[in-house]
Amino acid sequence: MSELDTSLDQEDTKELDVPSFSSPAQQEDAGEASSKPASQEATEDSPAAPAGSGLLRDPSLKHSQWVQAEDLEIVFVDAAPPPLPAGDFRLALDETLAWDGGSADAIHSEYDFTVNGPRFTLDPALVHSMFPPPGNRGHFQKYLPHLVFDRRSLPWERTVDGSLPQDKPFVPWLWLLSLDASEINADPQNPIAIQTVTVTQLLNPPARVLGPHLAFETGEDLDSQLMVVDVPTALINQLVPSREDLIYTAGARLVSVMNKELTATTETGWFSAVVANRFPANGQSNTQFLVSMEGYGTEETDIFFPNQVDPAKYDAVRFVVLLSWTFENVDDDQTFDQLTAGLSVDRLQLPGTGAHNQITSNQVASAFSMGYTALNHTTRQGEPNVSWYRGPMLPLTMPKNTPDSYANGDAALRFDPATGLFDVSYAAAWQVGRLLGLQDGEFAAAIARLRDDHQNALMTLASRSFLMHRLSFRLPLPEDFQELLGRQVFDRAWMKAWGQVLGPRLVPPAGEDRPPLLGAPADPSGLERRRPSLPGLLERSEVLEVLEQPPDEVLDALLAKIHRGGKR
Amino acid sequence: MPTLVPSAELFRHISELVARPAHWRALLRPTEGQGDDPQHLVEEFIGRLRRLEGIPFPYLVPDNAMLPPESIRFFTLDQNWVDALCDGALSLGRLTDMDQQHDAAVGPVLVRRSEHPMINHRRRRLRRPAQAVPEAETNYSGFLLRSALVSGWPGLEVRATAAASGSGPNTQCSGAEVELIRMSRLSPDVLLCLFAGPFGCVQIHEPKEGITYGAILSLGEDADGAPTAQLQADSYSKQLRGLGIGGYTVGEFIDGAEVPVPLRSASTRVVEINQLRKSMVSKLKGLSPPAWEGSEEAFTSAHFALQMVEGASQHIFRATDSSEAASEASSKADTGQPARRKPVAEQLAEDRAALNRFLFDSREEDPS
Repeated sequence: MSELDTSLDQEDTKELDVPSFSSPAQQEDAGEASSKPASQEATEDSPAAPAGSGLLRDPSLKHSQWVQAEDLEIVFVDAAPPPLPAGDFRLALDETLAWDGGSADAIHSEYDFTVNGPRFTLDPALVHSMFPPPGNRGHFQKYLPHLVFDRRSLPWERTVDGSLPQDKPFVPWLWLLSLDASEINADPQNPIAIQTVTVTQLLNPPARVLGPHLAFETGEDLDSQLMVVDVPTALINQLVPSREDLIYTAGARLVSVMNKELTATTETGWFSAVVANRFPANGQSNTQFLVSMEGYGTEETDIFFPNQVDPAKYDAVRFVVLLSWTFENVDDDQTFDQLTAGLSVDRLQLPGTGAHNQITSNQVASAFSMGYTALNHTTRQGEPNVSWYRGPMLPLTMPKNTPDSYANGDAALRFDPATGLFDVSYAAAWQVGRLLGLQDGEFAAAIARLRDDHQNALMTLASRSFLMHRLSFRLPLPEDFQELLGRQVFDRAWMKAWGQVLGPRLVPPAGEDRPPLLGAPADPSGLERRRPSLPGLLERSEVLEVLEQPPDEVLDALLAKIHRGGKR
Repeated sequence: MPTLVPSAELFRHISELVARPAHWRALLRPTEGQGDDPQHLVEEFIGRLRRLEGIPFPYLVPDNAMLPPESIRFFTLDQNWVDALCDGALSLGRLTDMDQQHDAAVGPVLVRRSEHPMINHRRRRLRRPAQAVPEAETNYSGFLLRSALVSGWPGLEVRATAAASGSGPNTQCSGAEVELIRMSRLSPDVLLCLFAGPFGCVQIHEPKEGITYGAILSLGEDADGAPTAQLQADSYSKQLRGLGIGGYTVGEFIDGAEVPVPLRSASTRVVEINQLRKSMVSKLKGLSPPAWEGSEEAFTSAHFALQMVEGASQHIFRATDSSEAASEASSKADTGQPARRKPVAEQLAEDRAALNRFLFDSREEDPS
């Protein structure tokens, strides 16, 4: 599969190299790529690296390590840092010109540029999913909450200490801080809550609140708003991971999207995930805060475990909150397994019985089993009525038994003599199809254009073929109608007609003994008549005479004739 | 007034030409078009309609009682409904008799040809080779799922096969895989899946990218799954998986290789992640044969993730049998096997030959 993509441009290739997962159904396309070494360092010079692996082709992943679990159909990648992290950059260029016996002064030039990336806020569209899902209720105490991003590089687009994210160790800048309800409400007067502040208030927090050590970046607005949470120092000292812990809470993943809903962001199959470092508390709600750790790993401010924030100096630590959600770890049935097991399974039809649906008639029951529902219907005359309707999704298999085309929507109405009601299903379908067609301007124009093209073509064929048949002399007919549609068709036909029909009538072909229609060939220059007397020119009879000689002597005879003629 | 040709004869010639559907059909292009070619645009749009894209939800499910919360409902696509839908779209600008003649001839072919973009939409996006439209009429089928699963687990994976075996919790999907041709969320909690044929079994998988990190909790559970004891610092443990080293299959649990999950304290429930990773490495190295050979640093976040994830859950649904409700179908269709349709290319060749015959083969009998 990955081999097929070589013709795509560079950007596409990077995105589309999904390794083949060899499930039986996909093997037809997967080709030979089925057995791969399970674990490889993805460096270009690694001799054991599988040549077809898409991971290797992406230079920004050359330091990444990966494990592919075949039965899970997933590739775990330790980190997928972006080629450049977000931040301000300066490109400095020194040019030295040197030649034999001399050199010029070095030319120094500098260019400043900025790579933008999420910093104080996060576009919700980058978030693929959260686990446990927001608002869900169920037993989740065995699981570490996590968050999946559609963008594989997101956890490494910044660093906690301002270093380059391409360098190992790959410490992510995001931490999934997990707090339970008892911690949030420990001080009922002053619960831990998200506040909206400006960038200034983040960089200069109030007294006794510790803020991150950040540099201001180009393009940032000091007055722009963001969300923060102030977490008490004692609590944060217990919860904060060590720098090494944080490394292992983030990872990139490449999965097969063969059986998934395809969207612009997910169809590459690349995701990244960050995992919380604590299990949820039982019997209460748990809130997850996706916080930025940027500026908390610098020499000036390092809060990573086992470093401790000094409670004597600070009451709280201020974190930028990029996203937060809450779930309830309680006795309920909303885990994946419980939800799937609890689904009601049936065909798509109205239930025959139910509190609001007491069926009294067999006819109604049979209509319901065929997917029908009865809807109020105000007819064209304004009479209130009830009609049958069903959508395109039926609880049974229907053979094709209607015409392909209707003159209008009403023509698709069907009358049910058994109940005396109309079936408006196909009429409604026809109408909604027409409305959807109108809504799509490109389609509406295309169908009109197609009809015009076809009608013009047929009219052209009709008149041209008619003309060709009707002319008193026959124009030569082409073999295929498409030749008749071309622009040049009549030019060619007329040329042929001149050659084959008109020409021979005007000038009789050789062997036919009749005078030419328009008299003798013209001789405007008068040369034809004087030809025998011109030096070097031979008469027809003279040439024939020469050609009767044996082949070896033709040339000599010809030359002799010409020379003699020249002397004349 | 002298005329070059008798107009009544020309009129008769034209009416005969446009009256035969084959003459209109012969004008269609055989190949898949591209760009702003009108036939291509029409086929693509009709293909979208045939996948039911853009159709307002109440037209699909007219009564909410058909699809209550937390339900999965199986269906078969009604070709009559879809054909009426497509004809409605093609009826735009259909005004004159000749429009009607054109559409009656060409419309069904366009609808038929749009089956190609209909079934290959996903394949195109996945950069997989296109699939040919089967000669036999296809009974497109699918299901609607309305559940917190759809909103809570974006990226659900579905797979359908022709048949199911076993029953109850032992149900297994068997037979050939049926191709998924559309999967979309119609609303945050309603998922529509459409397959290229009837299916007997559906598997719904937890999304693999959202596969969870979890551990074994040895507290004992009551009937509802709630823990029965107080959490201790050593309550969590983790069984390790092979990494393809020392003969252990990647991702497969290794018997007896279990490590405790170190907590900073029972009250905080904070996992000492790096310490856990180190104990994983030493456990794997200590196995016989060793399941890890490299250095401790080489055991990266990727290896750690593989160890930490729980298997992705899945659930199997037996698609409910519609045979007993198929009375309407069986009374009207005698044969169980759908009839073989003439391939599009074959039909087109015949139509073209018919048009050529009409235009040119009257050479001999034409009284000129």
